[in-house]
Amino acid sequence: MRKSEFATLLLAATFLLMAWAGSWFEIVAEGTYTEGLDREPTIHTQYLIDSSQESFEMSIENSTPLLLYWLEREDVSPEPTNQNENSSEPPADVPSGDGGSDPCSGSCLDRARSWVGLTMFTLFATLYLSSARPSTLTRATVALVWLLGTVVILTAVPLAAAADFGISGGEDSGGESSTGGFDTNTQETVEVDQFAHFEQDEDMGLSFDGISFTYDSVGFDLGLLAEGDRQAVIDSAPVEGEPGYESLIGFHGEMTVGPGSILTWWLLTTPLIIVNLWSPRDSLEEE
Amino acid sequence: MAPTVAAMGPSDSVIWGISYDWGNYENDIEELTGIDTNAANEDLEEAADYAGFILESDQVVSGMTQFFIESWDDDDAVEITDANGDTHEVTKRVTELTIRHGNLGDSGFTTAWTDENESIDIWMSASVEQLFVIDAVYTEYVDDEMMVYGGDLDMSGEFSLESNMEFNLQVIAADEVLAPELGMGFSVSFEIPSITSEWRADEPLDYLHHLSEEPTEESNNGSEGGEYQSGLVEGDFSTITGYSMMLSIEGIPAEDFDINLDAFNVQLSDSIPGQGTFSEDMTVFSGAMWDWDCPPVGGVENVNTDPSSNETVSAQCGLAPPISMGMASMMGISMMMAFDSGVQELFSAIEEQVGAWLEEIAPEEDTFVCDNGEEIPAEWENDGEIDCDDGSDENESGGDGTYTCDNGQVIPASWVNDGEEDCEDGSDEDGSEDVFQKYIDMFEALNNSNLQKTMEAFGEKLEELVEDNDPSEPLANLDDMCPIMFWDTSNSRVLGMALMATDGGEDYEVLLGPEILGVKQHSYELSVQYLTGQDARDAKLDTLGLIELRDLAPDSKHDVEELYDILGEDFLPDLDQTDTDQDGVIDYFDQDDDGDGMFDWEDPDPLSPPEPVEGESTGNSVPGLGIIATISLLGAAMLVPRREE
Repeated sequence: MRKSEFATLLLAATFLLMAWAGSWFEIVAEGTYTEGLDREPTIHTQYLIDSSQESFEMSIENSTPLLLYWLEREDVSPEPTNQNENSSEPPADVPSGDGGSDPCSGSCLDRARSWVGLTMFTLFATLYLSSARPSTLTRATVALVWLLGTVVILTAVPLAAAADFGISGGEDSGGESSTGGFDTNTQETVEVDQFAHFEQDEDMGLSFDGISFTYDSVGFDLGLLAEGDRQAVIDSAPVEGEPGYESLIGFHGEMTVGPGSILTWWLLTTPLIIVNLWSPRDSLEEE
Repeated sequence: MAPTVAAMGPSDSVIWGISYDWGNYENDIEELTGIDTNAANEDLEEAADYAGFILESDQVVSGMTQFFIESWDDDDAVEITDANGDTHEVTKRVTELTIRHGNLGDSGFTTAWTDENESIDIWMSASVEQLFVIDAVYTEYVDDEMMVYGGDLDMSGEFSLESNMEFNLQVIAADEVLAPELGMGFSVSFEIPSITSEWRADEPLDYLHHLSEEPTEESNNGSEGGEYQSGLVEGDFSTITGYSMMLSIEGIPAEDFDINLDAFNVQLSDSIPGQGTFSEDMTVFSGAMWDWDCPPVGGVENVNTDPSSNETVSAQCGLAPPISMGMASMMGISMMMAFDSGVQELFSAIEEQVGAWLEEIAPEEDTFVCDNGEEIPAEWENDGEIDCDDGSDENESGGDGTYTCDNGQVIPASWVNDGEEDCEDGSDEDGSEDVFQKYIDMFEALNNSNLQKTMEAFGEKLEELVEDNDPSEPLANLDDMCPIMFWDTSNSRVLGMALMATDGGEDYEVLLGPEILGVKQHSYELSVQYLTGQDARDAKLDTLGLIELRDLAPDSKHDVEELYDILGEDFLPDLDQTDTDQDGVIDYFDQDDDGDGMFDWEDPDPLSPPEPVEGESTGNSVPGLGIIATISLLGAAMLVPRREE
């Protein structure tokens, strides 16, 4: 093995180790209440998966007005139970019995970790093999494993996490969202729900960090009003200074979902794969 | 925070104060009580060693507390308009209160026990930071007969408290590992950038006479004080109320509890600005106890109020407020108004949030109503025992303490979810027992180990060691501590105070206070200082600019080296290991950076480098390479094809 091949292997091992030790999947979100609450409370959240654990961080700045808002608002959304009564679907909390919605019994992520680990090991092994016994087959195998690894990193980890959380089953967690209910089924027209005169704007884009979402919404939170005052706000959106205007809540949120530093380190192996593929033919002949 | 009202009085002012260096706290405790707190730590370690496990603990306290009261008369006559619009010719009596308190506290604890198969490791670190800064200037308007017509108050200050705790546990038992890591912390702060208030009396008040004339039955209805109400206190304030809370948990056995998270960290924080005005009735509670004494100190004594001269002044002894009660009342009312405004929003949020949490954690106990109307706790329903007189609480088992399996088999209800499948189809077990079986096994494994025997041996040895460490008799009898004040009856001004204590005999000696003619001073080596006269003036001047926690309690005087030895890198994970003077002690712990034998905080030039040894390089000529740079360089060097290749 030549020194350059040894260096390739050394670098590959380093990059793969760094990829293994880095974050594998990240959801970073920041939401700010831009209307209705004093001092614009801001929520920062980060959900992160790495080789050993799933961690969640949340911090709330200027939290007092937000805590008061959450505690004081009344939930005026209609109960979903009426819809279920007429539905032919079984209630969400009834176990299906065949485990079909949970294919890996809550350990999909562990399986995904195994796949990632296996892929990394395989990539290194094939690289070594390709250096020690270069052939078209071994080089093609390296490229194939690298492509497979990229797919595993980009899809297997987030899908496994989603499956463990039960998102793939399409069940609503039923919890109140951090937007204070902005993601309920409120229509943008006047409707008796948590918010009246609700308007929202969503956008999505791609960035180096992953997929970015932005979300803006504004509406009158009927849960902040006395029961007798709600109809007036539903009938006509109050303007500043009019009764009911104090229930106006505006929210701006940004979220980025993407692979963590694992992808960066993984992509750093690309030049090594290319070097491996395009290394001089005489090395084959030397063998 | 920048105090807006801190200042120095004239050179002939009356000034006194107290200064304490918390860095000598353990020495002072030993000096006064004979109890060696370090020996207590050593006892713990020795007892643990005797019992066969490792235990190390230490605590460090540092910081400074100072307060000064300075007062003087401005004899220039001024005119003041009282609450009724009447004008009076008065003079100003000015009082300044300066408080500085900054304190750092750290403690750590590690223990490691093991027998053949089981082990317990505990790592704990806790810290506290306190800051209390007040600057207040009070101007009281009095006439020739010491009647008070009103006052003005300017003050600024800050109070903050922060506490953090980290706790790591690792238990290995029954071939299982449990290693949760818990971190929690909170901080609260209340900053008063400024309070300005004004009080104008409806009619002149004579509360200053409590210090000029001994109260008699006739003069004061036999009492030693009274309540005075006159006029309004009006003012404005600005405040900043802040708080933060943090909770982090790692290493929780999430899968056992069906949680899809292994670690979480939650933080809340806020900084609430507030400002407003207030107008409140002025109430002054005033009085003085002339007949209070600490023998042999009592009555009238000659007290030295300026150590730079040997002159003494005649002072009345007793108990009296150290500052004018007009000032105390104005400060109380003004701060209460500012505090109320600052924390109102915070308290209502906390109250509602805590209520919601309590409701979640401990919901009101559900009850089960029996068929005969009797009420029993809900968890007694179907527990295998008949609790209702009519047996209707055992509805799943027909009220006879039995359970019917899905296949129709009948078993005793108490066998349900007991960890063993008793129904042939297993329908009596829902799996909930399995989750806890691991922990039950761990507990039993620990119970069968030598842990209990070890703890018994530890307790017995510790008791024996502590007994040896306990001094047979205290050096100073602090139970008899007696405070006493001194004041000048000619101008109703407090000159100072003293704390007296007996040394086992009958009479008191001055533990803290001015020199009192004919009274014995204590002989302990304490770091608490009573300051008066020019000494106090100098100390106050030095301390006025110290308004941040790290000014009052610098890290350089907070020696946590021993804690670091005990707790390891987790205690200060980002600690810079640079050792500039290469004396084997890293800069963070090095309290004598230039090696000249003086502590840095006493050294006028703490960083003057030692003379370099001839021929020795004094600097780092090659900068360290980062990992990325190293990899890049290595990769570039190796990948570039060689000419011969």
